[in-house]
Amino acid sequence: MDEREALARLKRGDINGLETLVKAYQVQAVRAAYLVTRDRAQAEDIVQAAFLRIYQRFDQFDMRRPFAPWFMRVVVNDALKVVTRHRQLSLESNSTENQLSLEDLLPDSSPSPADLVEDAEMRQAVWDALGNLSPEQRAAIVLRYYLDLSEREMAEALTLPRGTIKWRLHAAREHLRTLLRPLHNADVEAYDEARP
Amino acid sequence: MDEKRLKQTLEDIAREDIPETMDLWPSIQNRTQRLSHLQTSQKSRLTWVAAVILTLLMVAAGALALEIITTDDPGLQEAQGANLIENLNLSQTIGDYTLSLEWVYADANRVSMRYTLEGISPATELYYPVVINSALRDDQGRVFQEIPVGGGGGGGGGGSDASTATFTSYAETSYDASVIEGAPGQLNLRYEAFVGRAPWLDNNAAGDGGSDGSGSEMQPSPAPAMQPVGPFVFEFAVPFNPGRKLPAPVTASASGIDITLENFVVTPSMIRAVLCFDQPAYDANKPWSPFASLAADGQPIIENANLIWDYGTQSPDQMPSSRCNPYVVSQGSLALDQQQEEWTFTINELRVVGSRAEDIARLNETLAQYGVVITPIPGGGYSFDTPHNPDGSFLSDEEYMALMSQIDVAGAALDATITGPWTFTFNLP
Repeated sequence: MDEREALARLKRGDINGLETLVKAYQVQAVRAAYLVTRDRAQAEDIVQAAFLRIYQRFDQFDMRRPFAPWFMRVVVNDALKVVTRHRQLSLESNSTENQLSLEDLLPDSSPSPADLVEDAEMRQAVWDALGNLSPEQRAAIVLRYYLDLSEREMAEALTLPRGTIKWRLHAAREHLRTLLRPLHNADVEAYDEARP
Repeated sequence: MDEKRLKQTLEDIAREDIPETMDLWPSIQNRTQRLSHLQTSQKSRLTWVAAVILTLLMVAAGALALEIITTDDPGLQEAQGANLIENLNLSQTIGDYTLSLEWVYADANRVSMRYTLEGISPATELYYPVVINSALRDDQGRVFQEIPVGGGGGGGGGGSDASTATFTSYAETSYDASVIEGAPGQLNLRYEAFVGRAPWLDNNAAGDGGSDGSGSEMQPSPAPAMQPVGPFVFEFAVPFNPGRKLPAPVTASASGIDITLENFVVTPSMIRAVLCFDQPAYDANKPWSPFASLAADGQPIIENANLIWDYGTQSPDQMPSSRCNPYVVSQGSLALDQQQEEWTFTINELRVVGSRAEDIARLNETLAQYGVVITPIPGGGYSFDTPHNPDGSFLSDEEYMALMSQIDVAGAALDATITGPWTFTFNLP
């Protein structure tokens, strides 16, 4: 059964349609939620609840639109809601003037610091840095760079004005740059020493 | 670090901590079953609260002579906004059950209605009452077939005493109206239905039903015999909106295939098209799906959308197999049904996902060198587990990316596409 058949069946209330969608998208959805919540069990709960909600309220889905991007937005939005219920938020950035690319904001020296550290260390550094972002900033990074959403799509996903999305992405990128600044150092030792 | 590197790192983190083999389905399946039960549990205090609020709202609305019509269907919401939905508020009680028709709507694409079923059920019952054997006919003897458009339903219960539980459920259903010829001013309809039983749990459930609130554990078992209650019979009239119809079929050719736009109907609740073409030989079990764009007076309405077969008067148990099939082009088109002159409907391509036995065999052969084994999924499609290194560790990034790339390429090679465009330009009277 392909996605089109699954959606048509789900429209008729056939649970087999739901099963096909779960099998197709559960892994990507849990991974996206996990990047926001940083808790696998919580991420799985969020994705389960999202699938259940689709089963109950499928009529709200516009079948002209691709299912996967819509569903991933729902999941990330849910993950953000869950996390912000438990976390104190801290959004610091006031700068909204310049729309710089991430390449401009993150360390971009030559040679690239990515060439100087092992992949595992890079993953750990990014993971730690993500943990220091606010949930909103983390969700913005996940939507933009993990799920490849445009700013317009992000605005839809988070039901926020595009200006807010631009600001949030900018703040997230600047915060990430600060957190990953140790990677500017010319060698791995310096980077390690800089880590808490 | 550039954006590409960040994206790759995020993917690495996610893949490392959330394995490809995780499976939420068993848990979701159990929760759907529990959910059905909880929705009508006698212990549902939230439902009590909701029922009280709803009652207060209905009383208030009645006092103000307001018409409240509830629907999540975008097409019907637009019809509702234009006051095109007919309130019925017809009720009939037989034994412990009351069936009510709340509203009805009819246009050249569909007849839609909403009913509510209320009643009393023994509190320890493992089965809940549902509407069965329903039929909608008109005074010409025409029978309307239900179609998977809009729709939806739900329910809830409130306790009355220790041994019984009251419940309320509702459903919105739509029927294919293409059987109506001409433009009658109204339809004289007759809706007939019985009340029967459906189990709380599927018979193949694993016994994870939890408690029904009375202390007895839910166990899957066949539904006990119940004499259907009824018939509930309602006769009523509803105004008919004829919409705008394609005056004559139009045919376009591309890639050696003729596609005829047999019908194209724009009504306040939806746009629907009937396409006729000989299914190119490929997979007997997999019909070709049209991907289409639609514009009216140069303004795009849909862009390269996968049209959904709504099976119309065909059997819902089969995928489209006949030469002519009905498709939903758009739901909710009130703003479009009166003004536009020139319409351009384009079938951009026909697509089919290859899942024939020889496709799976070819895929397995291609991916065997990577240790990937494809497993066909009954009814079409396939799945696979991502291989690990012999010591159980993950593949390196390079190996993993190469593998995914190979699977993408091999999988895409199974899909077949016939490129158009088949373009239909027409005016609607």
